[in-house]
Amino acid sequence: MLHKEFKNRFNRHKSILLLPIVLIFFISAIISFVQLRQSLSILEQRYGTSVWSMFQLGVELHRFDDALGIYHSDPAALKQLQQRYDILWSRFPILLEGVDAKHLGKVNGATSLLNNTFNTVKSFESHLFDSPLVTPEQIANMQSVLRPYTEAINKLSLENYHYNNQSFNRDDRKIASLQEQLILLIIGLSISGSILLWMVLRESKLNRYQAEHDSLTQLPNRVYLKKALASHCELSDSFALHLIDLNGFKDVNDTLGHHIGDILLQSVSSRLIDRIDREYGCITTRLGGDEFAIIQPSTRNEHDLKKVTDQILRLFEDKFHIGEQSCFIGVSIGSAIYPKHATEAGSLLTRADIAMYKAKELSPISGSALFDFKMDAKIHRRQELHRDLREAIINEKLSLVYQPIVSLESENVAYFEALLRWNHEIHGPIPPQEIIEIAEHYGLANKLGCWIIDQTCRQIGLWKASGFNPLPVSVNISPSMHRLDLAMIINKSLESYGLPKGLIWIEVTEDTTMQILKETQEVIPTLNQEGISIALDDFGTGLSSLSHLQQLPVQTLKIDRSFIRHIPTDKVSSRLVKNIIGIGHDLGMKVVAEGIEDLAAARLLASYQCDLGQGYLFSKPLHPNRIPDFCRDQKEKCSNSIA
Amino acid sequence: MIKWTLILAAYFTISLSALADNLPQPLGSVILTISGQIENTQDGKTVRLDLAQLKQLKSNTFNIQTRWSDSAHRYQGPLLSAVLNYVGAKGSVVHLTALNDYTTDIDQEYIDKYEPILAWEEDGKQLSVREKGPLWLLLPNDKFPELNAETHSGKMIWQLTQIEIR
Repeated sequence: MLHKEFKNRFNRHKSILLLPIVLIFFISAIISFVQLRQSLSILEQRYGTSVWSMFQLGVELHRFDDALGIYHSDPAALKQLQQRYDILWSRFPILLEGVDAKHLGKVNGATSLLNNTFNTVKSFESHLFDSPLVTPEQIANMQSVLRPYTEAINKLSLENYHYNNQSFNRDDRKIASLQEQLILLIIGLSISGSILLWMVLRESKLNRYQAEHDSLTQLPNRVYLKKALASHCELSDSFALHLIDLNGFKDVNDTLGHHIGDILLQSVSSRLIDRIDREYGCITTRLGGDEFAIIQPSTRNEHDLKKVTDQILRLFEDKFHIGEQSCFIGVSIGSAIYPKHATEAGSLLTRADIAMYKAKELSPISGSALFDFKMDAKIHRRQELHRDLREAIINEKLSLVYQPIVSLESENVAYFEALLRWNHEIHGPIPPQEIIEIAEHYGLANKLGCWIIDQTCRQIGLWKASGFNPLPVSVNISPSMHRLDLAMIINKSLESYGLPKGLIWIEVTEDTTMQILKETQEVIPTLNQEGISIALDDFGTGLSSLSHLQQLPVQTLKIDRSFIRHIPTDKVSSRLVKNIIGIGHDLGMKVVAEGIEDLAAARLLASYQCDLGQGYLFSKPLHPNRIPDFCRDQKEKCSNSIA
Repeated sequence: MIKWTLILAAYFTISLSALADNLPQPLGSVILTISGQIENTQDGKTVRLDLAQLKQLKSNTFNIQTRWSDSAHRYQGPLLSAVLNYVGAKGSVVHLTALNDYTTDIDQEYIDKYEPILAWEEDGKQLSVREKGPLWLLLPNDKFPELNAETHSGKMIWQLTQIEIR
């Protein structure tokens, strides 16, 4: 708590702190740069060449003096004397302009001495070049004129040397003081740089923490869980993963508000941390919403695992108090063990999830389940069927069979019910209910429904073409299909095979019709207007009430087989069925009895005025090719019995 | 017979390469003498060049200001590399000597990088000894600022008259 408070305070002051630190850093950096530039320019100035040039001038003056001496004893050496003169001459411009002249300008009297000496040297030119001979007097004269200048130049050379040394010393001291300041600046740079670095590292640590933790409960999140699972999977130690889903949380959110929901999640988290993480060394994470995951390390057997799951269940036996409100919350716990159930994080999560759904299925309030490979097989089958169903629809691997529905009075065929068949390569025949369920679950229901309608229309067309006068066929509509424009789909399909309206009827279950009524009132009347007769399928098994039956503009009522099976022997069943038939007739519906398997039932139903019957007594579902023959036989049978 | 022909051929080859005094003699006054490890000579050992001969070599012009002057000037002269090429220099170090006995060494890598010239002309006027002639080795300090440092200034030898290839 204290730590948290410190953290908040730090965050508040962070921006105020950051500005001076950044300022110190940049000012130090800029001043250091300027200082270094100064030091460098001082060092550059030190390399003046005026000292060298001055001494060179001295040397050339002496050489010229020597050359004059040589010429005196050997007049043939005029050329050499002239060259020495030219070389001496050439030394002056160097000292009177350019960098060296600038340096020498700082030494008192240097420039004027140099100019005077140069002029004196220039005055010798006529003696040396104009006549073929230089007289001994001229030589003596030149030597004596030049001597004081040579001495003065030598003196100036030394003065310049000392001056340079002094300025070297001065510059050295300056550089030393600059470097002392530089040390301070570098300390400033290092400290502010270190603080900045520390702040950056702290910020990135905070970011990492935020990326791996849930802001509401401060628990590690899904990202953290995946990392933790992966690292646990690398160790050889076995561990358990518990997935926890709260039951009834949505209701709390809906009735008490999201604010209360959030507080509830926080108190769930703190219960889990206090009683599970602290006591059993587990790691609780929040996956999002009302889902949590717990890693239980070193889980040797199911006994270890049960200790934790039982404790979790116990934690939820007590009410949660939120301000003045209090509520019970249930949990479903699904557990899977590494490496027994999965050796990789992803599949471990999937399997704990499967177990969690199993727990929910077993007990909707609170319960736990450990993963079992049988659960996986069921899920696996579902996933496989889902994968293959799409392909089966496209590649026409599905088929339809047709079961006749006959008049109980005349035994003539009234219409057919189209039933879906799928012979799966691995799983064999798949029950139609399962196909529909999978289609609904994975969003294939509409595609499948349209395929059934189209296939049925095509079949009616084929029958018609073969000379068989077609009868209506009813198709089963899956719950979500009513959201489409069903009437348009059916009639368009009929039209495309050149068939009149009214040949396709639909069958819907009670629950589906309830859904339809809940969402829209217009679907059923529209279907009726478009000549599509509606049958209420499996009546008596769903959740509709008689009052709803009154609202439903359906034409046919199909009594579920579970009622029909026992009517010859069970009085209660037979009375119930008799009354349902009566109610159906009162509401203007035709009544069909499903699942008629023996003659006694058929006779009893006929005596109750039941209109139509369906079942093995008359015919099992037939391949479409056999339908025309069956109808012909049935017709003959009827006319014979009348005769 | 074949043996004798081969010996004769070998003799000519060796004597030709040993002599190699194939370069023309200077006609005007000599301003540069080159000696040392060179393949082409005039007398088997050295090459003495007058201005006319230097003018025939590949040259360059620098518009630069040196540290010994207050303004920029236009200098022209043969590339040192062209001179070395002309004499077939084989050594790695070029030892340069001036009239006042000042010497400096530069190596092949330095020549390749900075391409110095041996200027004989400043602003269209031939350099006299008084103006650092007859030849002044100049570096393009306008293109390479580091050439203004003292270590490089020392390479810009003036009153250059002798080159020895070592």
